[in-house]
Amino acid sequence: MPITKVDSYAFYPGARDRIAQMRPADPAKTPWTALGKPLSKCNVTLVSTAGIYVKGDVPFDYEREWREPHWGDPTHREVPRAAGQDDCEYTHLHINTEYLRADRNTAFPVDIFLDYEREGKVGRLADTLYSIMGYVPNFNPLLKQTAPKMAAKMKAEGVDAAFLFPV
Amino acid sequence: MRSVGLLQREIEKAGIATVSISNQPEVAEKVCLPRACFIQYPFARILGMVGDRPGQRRVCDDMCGLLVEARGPNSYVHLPYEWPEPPEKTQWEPLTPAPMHVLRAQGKAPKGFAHYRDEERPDLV
Repeated sequence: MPITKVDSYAFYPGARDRIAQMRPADPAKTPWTALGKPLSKCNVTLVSTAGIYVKGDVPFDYEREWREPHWGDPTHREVPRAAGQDDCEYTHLHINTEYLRADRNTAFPVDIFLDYEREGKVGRLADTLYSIMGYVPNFNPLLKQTAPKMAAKMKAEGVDAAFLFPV
Repeated sequence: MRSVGLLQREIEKAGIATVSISNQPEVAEKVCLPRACFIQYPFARILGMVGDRPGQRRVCDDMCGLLVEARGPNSYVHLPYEWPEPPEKTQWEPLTPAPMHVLRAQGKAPKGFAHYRDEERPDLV
């Protein structure tokens, strides 16, 4: 039977109370940028929340998260488009990352977007892709410090559109 | 989903069109996003099973479609695809519980914002 309305609690019923307590934003104030050109002419990038970084780069700070479980590393890592499946670590503590280690396209579809580029479905996959570690209850620094850095790099690379993949 | 939704809004504000995918539409609709596809797939495999490239690509195709077709903010699409395993038999959680999950299991999870350092308090955004 095809899904007609996605159940937010199908896989994580324990989140119901916390989600119920979230304050809703004003939908009249949702930001908007029109795409402005055909996708086949767009420079696009990807953003994962799976705690991905290139081997040898600075890991996300899980030592502090173990000391302070209400805290999550609010920084980001850049992942070059040329980095392959096995060039990266996949480290988010709140999910089973073995699936990503076996096939990153389960949640970070770099290879699918490289196919899109070859086929002309998108204009180009940007040189830089991005990951955060998605458990960030202290999201003030994510928004005030990390987001501007990511957006500035995207703008510098001429990115038209970003695809975000929470895990 | 909340933190990445807020990040999505910041990128969109910077003049870059965005689209995301989520299995928690109630969170996405509370955060209020420009464009989002919803899918009833588990965390960690939000695009599909390991090695299922056609299935993963189908979801990415739908995200591309929404990116192109949406005409204004709060554009949401529920995708029809069914995960092949029942949710209660679907594994997505880590084998070692995350620190906050350990605290919750012990009934020690903090509430409110008092435990945050000022510069990291989410209510001071």
